[in-house]
Amino acid sequence: MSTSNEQPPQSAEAELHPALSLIPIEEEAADSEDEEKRTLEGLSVLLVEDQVLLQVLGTKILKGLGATVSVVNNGVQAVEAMTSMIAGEKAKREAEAANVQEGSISETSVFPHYDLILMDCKMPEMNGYEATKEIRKMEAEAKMDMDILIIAFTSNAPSENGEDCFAAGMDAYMQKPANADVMASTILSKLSEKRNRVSSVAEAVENTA
Amino acid sequence: MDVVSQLQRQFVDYSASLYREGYVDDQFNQLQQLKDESNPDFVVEVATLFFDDSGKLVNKMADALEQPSVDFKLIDSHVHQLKGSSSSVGAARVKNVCITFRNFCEAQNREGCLICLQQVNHECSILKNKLQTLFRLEQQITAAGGSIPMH
Repeated sequence: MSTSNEQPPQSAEAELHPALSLIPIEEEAADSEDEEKRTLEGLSVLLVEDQVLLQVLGTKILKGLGATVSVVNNGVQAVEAMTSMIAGEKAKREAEAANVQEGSISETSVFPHYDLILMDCKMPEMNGYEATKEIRKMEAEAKMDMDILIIAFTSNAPSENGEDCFAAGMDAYMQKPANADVMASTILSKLSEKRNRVSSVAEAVENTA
Repeated sequence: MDVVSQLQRQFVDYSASLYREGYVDDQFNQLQQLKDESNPDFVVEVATLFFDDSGKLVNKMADALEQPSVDFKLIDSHVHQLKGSSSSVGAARVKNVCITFRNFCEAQNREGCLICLQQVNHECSILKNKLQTLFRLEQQITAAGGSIPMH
């Protein structure tokens, strides 16, 4: 064998080099791009929408953004879902107040939890406005400072939206058709506003105490 | 030009024509972006849902318009639904007819509503054929081992 074909011995430096990743660079870039898109990671969304097509679209977009999605078909089911959530929150707070062992507290995980509601406005049985009014009434009656973010998701023209939505107790509205970027930015900005408002109120209460 | 490149070229040209002629708008492109490896048939599934829905709504509207006393509020709610779904899938021409249709509902103009119903039916039918052609091209490209060009 000629010496020119011999492989040079591996240097000590080569032995110390970190193992090469098995994932090609392009896939790494794609993975990191997907990670960047998951701006709603960790959020739980209740999607209230009667049309199956729009349920499918909305769910796909929200899941692509990293959110967990629960879907109900109308305002009645939305109110039922929130009734469960409020019951769960009440049970959790009672358990915490009673200083129960960890095993008992975990039972409250059977109750749903939502960080926000995306509410269609026009639905059979109970529309989005009526459902929102009902949810706000339940929150007030529960007296636990619950104030879930409710964003109207509507096909109506912008001029038709504001008054009715805010009068019903909604926090914001988004116009259909769904767009991932608009959805993500609206949800994140409105959540942040709501959380800042809650902390300001808590701070104000503390200062006056 | 090899078979895959030819098919890809046909796909790009055909896709461009759908946008240029106003059959679909950017929302259709948004829909295409939602396709992924876990659900490569997502757009086909959504399109199927849309045409099933629109067919049912057209029938309901036709029934309502045949009644001796036309319930324009009911028809308007169906049109509203169709407008919502058509705009969500990027079916631009269908959506535009729905806008006019809603105006006729508000004016309680039965003749206008009937004309719009015919137009909606016609536009849905054309769009269905065009999308079937587009999806067929996609299948041919994939079967030939190529990738689908992005818009």
